[in-house]
Amino acid sequence: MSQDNSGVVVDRAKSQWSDLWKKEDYWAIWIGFFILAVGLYCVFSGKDDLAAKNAPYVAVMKAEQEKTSAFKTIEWYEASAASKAVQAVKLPAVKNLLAFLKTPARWQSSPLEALVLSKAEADKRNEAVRPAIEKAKAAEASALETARTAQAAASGAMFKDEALNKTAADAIAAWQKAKGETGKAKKKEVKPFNLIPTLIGTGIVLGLLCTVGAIFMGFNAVKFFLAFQGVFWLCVLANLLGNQVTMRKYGLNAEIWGIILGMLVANTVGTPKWLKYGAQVEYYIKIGLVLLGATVLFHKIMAIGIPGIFVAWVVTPIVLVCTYIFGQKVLKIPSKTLNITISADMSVCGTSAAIATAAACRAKKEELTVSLGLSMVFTAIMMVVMPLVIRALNMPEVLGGAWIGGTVDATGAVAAAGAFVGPKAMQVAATVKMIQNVLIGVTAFCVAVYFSTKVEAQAGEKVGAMEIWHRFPKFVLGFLAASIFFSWLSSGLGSDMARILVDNGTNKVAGSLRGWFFVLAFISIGLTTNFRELAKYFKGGKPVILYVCGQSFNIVLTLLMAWIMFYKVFPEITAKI
Amino acid sequence: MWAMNATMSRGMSVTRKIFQLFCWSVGLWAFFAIVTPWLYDRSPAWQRYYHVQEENDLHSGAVYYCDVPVTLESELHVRESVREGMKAWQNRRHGTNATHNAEK
Repeated sequence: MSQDNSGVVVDRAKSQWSDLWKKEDYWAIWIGFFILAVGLYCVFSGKDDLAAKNAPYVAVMKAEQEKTSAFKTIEWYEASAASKAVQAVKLPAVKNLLAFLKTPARWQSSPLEALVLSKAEADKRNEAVRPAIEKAKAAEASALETARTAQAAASGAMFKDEALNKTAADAIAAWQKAKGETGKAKKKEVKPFNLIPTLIGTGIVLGLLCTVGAIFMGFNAVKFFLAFQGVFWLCVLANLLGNQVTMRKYGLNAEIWGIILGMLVANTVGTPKWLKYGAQVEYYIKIGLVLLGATVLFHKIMAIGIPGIFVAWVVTPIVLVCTYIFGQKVLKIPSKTLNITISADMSVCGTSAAIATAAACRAKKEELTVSLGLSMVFTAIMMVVMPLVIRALNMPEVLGGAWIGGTVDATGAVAAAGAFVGPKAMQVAATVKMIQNVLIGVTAFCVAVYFSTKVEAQAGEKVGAMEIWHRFPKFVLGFLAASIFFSWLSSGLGSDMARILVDNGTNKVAGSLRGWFFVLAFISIGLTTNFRELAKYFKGGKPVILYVCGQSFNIVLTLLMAWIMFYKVFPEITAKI
Repeated sequence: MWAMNATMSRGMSVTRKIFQLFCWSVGLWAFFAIVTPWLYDRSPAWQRYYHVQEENDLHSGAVYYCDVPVTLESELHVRESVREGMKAWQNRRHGTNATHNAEK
């Protein structure tokens, strides 16, 4: 290996059987799998009950669809809403588990608001929103009454009168809109909570889990556990800052605050030696990635049909490869790992893709930080500018949504920018981004193979299968195994049960824990990063030029592909969205 | 004497580091609590953008699709639209082929 190993996101050594219990790659897999097994057990223990609960609603929806194809009836919508409310997260075991893993809540002026909400305060807030809820409920009831009358008229004509059918469909749509408004008003209701005991519990449980692995890897158990607690409480602080209302406005999440807080400590008072012991970047990142694997569901790629595949799965790899080649051949970026991490971050889906790619290619933690910093800055600009451009050009919502979904990095920013354009744009943008999210698995695997076989090999050296195995970052296998298993499980369940058990069950458990581990990793990155080290990566502005050129190419190609697919090849799909 | 100097310089260094931390914290606070709200108040686009986030319960910093609740709802809607759209697309293709064959 030609590169220096210090500070890389993934380590490497010759493979031995003892690696299975001595190496963090494997411990990330074991811990990740253990967490997923617990999640699976909690969710699937209630499978039969949930299926029985959902069956009558599905039967009603089917019967209503058979009754008429002219429009969806009120009964269909009611059954659909009831079916959507059947979720594994409402099972007591899963509910308790998720409550245990909760991060600090949203807050405005005092951080205490994020940790504790008394009953009196909750009642006071609910009292303030009650008039709005009552008003929305009254509007909904009135809209429902109108819809019932219109539906009865259409039904009286055996659903054969076009005009009556249209009146009924419009009245039902108006009722659905009013119902949505009630839902939005109800979301403002709050329940009292006290997160301090659960946060202490989460810190202890996660600490114990990581300490088990740390003991086998040769760490001192007590020292590691105590250091973990220090890192964990910094992580709580990052979550607190990330959930502050103003910070949410700017799209600054807990991950970014993790790096900022860590670097603030490291570059001013200095990271205490005892705390550094728990700042194990690679360990936390790999556990987080194995958990992420469980939510990378391959069957999701067909969510928006062939146009979505072209926008997200054809354009993205082209942009990724072209940007990488541009960085190497034109800009001559010295670090290939920095080059590929920025390229993946920019072309795939921001933070999550950057983490997976950095870990797969053994990028240095500073390179990951540079990549995330660039992504954050450009996302903040693009999420505001792109909707303005779309509106100024009077671009159709579906095209605008697909364009945003394929180009803006951060997943949350995509949905928000799409919503800025309109509801259709938000749906298309969020779905295109979801398909792109699934590309993380393929990207990480391909990057790991490419770096193991090509980049790390000496010039002219022929790399054998065993050598590739030695070099291959093993946690990627855990990540892929989790992804394949959960994709198989989810597609085998059928769409309804997959939504109930996977999307609203295992995904939530894996997602919560993945969030904790990623922030732990970012705090650790910050705690071990030197400002001066970071500055050298910006020398000559090459990373910025790479990002700007790659993103410009992405913007043009995505728009072109979206226009061809949604307006030239499949206009029928666009018309139905 | 030398030991006393070393202790004093260590004390100075610790004070300097704490002062640095304080300055950075104040700088960050000023940036996020004074500068950005000032910019926010002067940017209608930013204000509109924030209201949209609030209305749809979105967090633009969300890392993955599972963290964006609206994605699941969107997926269901879009899947249904695509199913219906594909039926229409196939009808158009078959219709075109049928016309083409008839012309032949």
